[in-house]
Amino acid sequence: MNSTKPQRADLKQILSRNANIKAAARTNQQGSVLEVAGEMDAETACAVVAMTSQMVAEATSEAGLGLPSAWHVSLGSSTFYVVQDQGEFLVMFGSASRNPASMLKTLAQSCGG
Amino acid sequence: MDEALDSLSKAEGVFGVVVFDAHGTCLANRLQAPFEPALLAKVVRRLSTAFDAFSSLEDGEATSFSADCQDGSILLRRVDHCWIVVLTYPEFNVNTLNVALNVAVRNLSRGAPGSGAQAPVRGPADSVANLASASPSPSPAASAVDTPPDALDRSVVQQLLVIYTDYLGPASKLVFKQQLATLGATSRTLRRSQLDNLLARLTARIPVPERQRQFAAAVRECRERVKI
Repeated sequence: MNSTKPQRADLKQILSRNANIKAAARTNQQGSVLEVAGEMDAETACAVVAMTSQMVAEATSEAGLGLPSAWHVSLGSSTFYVVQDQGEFLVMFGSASRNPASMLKTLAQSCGG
Repeated sequence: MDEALDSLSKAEGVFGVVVFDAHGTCLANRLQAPFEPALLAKVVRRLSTAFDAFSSLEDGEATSFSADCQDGSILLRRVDHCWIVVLTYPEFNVNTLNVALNVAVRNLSRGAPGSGAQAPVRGPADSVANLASASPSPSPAASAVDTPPDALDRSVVQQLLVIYTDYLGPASKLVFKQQLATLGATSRTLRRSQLDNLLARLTARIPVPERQRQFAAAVRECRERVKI
């Protein structure tokens, strides 16, 4: 049987293709860091994403939009982008963007979303 | 605010827009059934808890959020202490929406209470937002409104707003206007029989119980003074 396994996003490639992104990490749903590229406090960022992903999913479901595939939060001069990838989360940390929703779509596409 | 929201709600792919103040009170909305401000207030509260967790990573409060979901997207943008919430279908033009949101943010910040400039207000139904302008004579459009025989004197309604501002703060005008609209009234058409209902609604929107009691006492004093 010839089955093709979907390729996982390459974190280094994401950084090289998106100048706004300073660091990226892959985490499982429990918040354990599986892979990191670039400089970020990945342990804490992944823990926060794992903790908040359920809240975001509940909020979007409550709004009648279903489960989220990607989301972002901007705080002052930083933005966190989260993309669901085969049961894991890709967490990307970048500078402020004029259009973070557009950046999110670009990142989700680069991650194969 | 109305024009900003109208324009935002007409952006391609958008099916709902709502503005909440810091207490989760809906200041304005362009929602269609079955969506209700109360439902989205709950959504924003839930998201705010998530934002607090992100604030532990980086200094500062959350200023924007978006989530792409199976059946559409939700975007939040902070304006002063308010949140603009936009709901979209799965297909929407993210760049057009960003521009429309930027325009709405600029318009809302210009008209935000305390910013020194009030947003233009449309029509007599919005007249409470004009109370602070203290215009000596009503506009022709306003005088065309049928005033019920048992309507309260407008100066009394203005006094109540001044008192309310002392206890709720800068959002008072918008909340006052919203509660009047809920009763189907304006500052010119509020009936005596509606006053208790209005006051109960206004009181409920003051977050601290002690401040609620103080507001009630101040209103009692005002009512005794003007004999209503």
